[in-house]
Amino acid sequence: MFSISVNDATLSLGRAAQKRQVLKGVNLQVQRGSLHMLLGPNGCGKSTLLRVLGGLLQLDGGGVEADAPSGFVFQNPDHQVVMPTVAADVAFGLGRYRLREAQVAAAVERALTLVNMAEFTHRATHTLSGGQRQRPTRRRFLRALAEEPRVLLLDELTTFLDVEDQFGVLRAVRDVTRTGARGRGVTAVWVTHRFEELEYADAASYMEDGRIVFTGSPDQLRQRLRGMGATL
Amino acid sequence: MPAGNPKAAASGKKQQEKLPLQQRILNGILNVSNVPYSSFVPYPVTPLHRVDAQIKQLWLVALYILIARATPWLRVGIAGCVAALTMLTLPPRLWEAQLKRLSLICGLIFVFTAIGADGVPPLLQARALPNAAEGLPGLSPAAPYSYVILNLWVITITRRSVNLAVTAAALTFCALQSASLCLVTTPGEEMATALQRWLAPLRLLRVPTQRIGVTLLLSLRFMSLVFEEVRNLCLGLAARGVDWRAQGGRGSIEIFARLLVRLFANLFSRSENIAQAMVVRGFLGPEQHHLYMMRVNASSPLANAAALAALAGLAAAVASLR
Repeated sequence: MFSISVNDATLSLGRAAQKRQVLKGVNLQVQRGSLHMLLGPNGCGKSTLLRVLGGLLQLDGGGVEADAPSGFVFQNPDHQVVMPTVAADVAFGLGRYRLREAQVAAAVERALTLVNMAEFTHRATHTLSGGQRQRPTRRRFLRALAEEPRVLLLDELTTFLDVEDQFGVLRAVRDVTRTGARGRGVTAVWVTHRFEELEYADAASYMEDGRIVFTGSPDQLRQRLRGMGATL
Repeated sequence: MPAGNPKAAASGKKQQEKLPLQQRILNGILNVSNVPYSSFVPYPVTPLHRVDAQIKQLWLVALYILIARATPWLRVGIAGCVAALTMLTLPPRLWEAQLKRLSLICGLIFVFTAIGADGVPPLLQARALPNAAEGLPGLSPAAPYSYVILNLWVITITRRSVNLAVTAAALTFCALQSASLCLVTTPGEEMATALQRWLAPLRLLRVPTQRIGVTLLLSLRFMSLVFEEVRNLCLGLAARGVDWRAQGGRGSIEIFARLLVRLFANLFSRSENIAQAMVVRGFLGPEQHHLYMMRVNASSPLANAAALAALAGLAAAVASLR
């Protein structure tokens, strides 16, 4: 039924004197096996909500129920790099499992070959150029999939991509939600600013000032946005 | 600018001379390669790439001890060997600039130590001779020995100060260059694994060796982040085209201080990002998380044996020449 259920979630961020309420009673239900998009103006709390779903932030009030495990992909590829060399970094996510070194090496080689980065396997991560760092974006969520997550949390994944790559990634995520890594449906929550990406969504929510003010089909959201004066 | 045009070259040099000091510092930082000092270089694969990381770490520790116990000339010899090894094994693009800078630093250490170590009279000096010096026969006036090597105006260089200067310069050179040589030919992950292996017996005493290994890895990752952030901030500052002359000394200090504050803020933010990335990528703590190190070059038994034999030879040489 629902893969994610958020009930009256509240959260304030910042130090005591400058504490600001970022989530002001969020309610959200996401169907299992769907691609759910989260839209809204800058600073409305989209990414914060995603971080709550990923377990990176603890709520002040309300509750969250979500399928586990989840895979999180950040907006900036630089922010996801943990290890000093490329191969070890790709393998980092598999560290929670006990696998044979040969298995891990094969998986890493496969993943890097898919993005034409096999020759960079042993390069230091910080020596990659901007373009080389962005190349794995298409695969970053697949790398997350290698760990068989039930929920994918994707924070403006296409920000640094050109149009062709942007829609390629969208199609891949949609396929994953339908078929999953092993035929099991995966739920994806996709935070975006781009209205044209709605075409790929199964459902969408619109956030404003720390609240979800609308949830419905992509067509319903488009109508609402047109009503607000957006040209779509 | 045409390379062969001396007039243009002269005018370019003049323009460079006119640049304010602040701008020259900024240019200096921006002109440094965007690859940090001593980061791992996978290609070309040299014999040093084939030596096991544990043996390299053994070499590092042994070098510090051997230099401390060697004679001054042997110290210079060891430093020369480290420099020669660097030049023989790595391509020139990796060592030329690095060796020049390091030689300059060590040269300065040598000069200042030689001048300062014995040139300034100590404020407190024992007036009586130590007991061990009592009753020794005096040196004959014809003996060539002289404690003071050079005494020129306020500069006094003695045998003791030269000895100290050689030790300080050679130790600094060997410490930095051998560590660099090690890091250039070994990925950070292998260094961390090797350290964990050395520390393994301490697990019996409940020393968190896994945690130490992970901390070392994160430090290596952080080194490159610091370098990257400094470059990015300097690039941002250069792009703004600050008129340093108009800023004056106080204004420039203020700008650099703000840059420093921003640097720390950015580094804290990047650290937080990495910590979050670790959490979302399934990191459950150093004890539970298995780090797959993805070995780059399988170590060669021949290279390992040669490295160990060379270390034994050096130790024997130091012991016999003391």
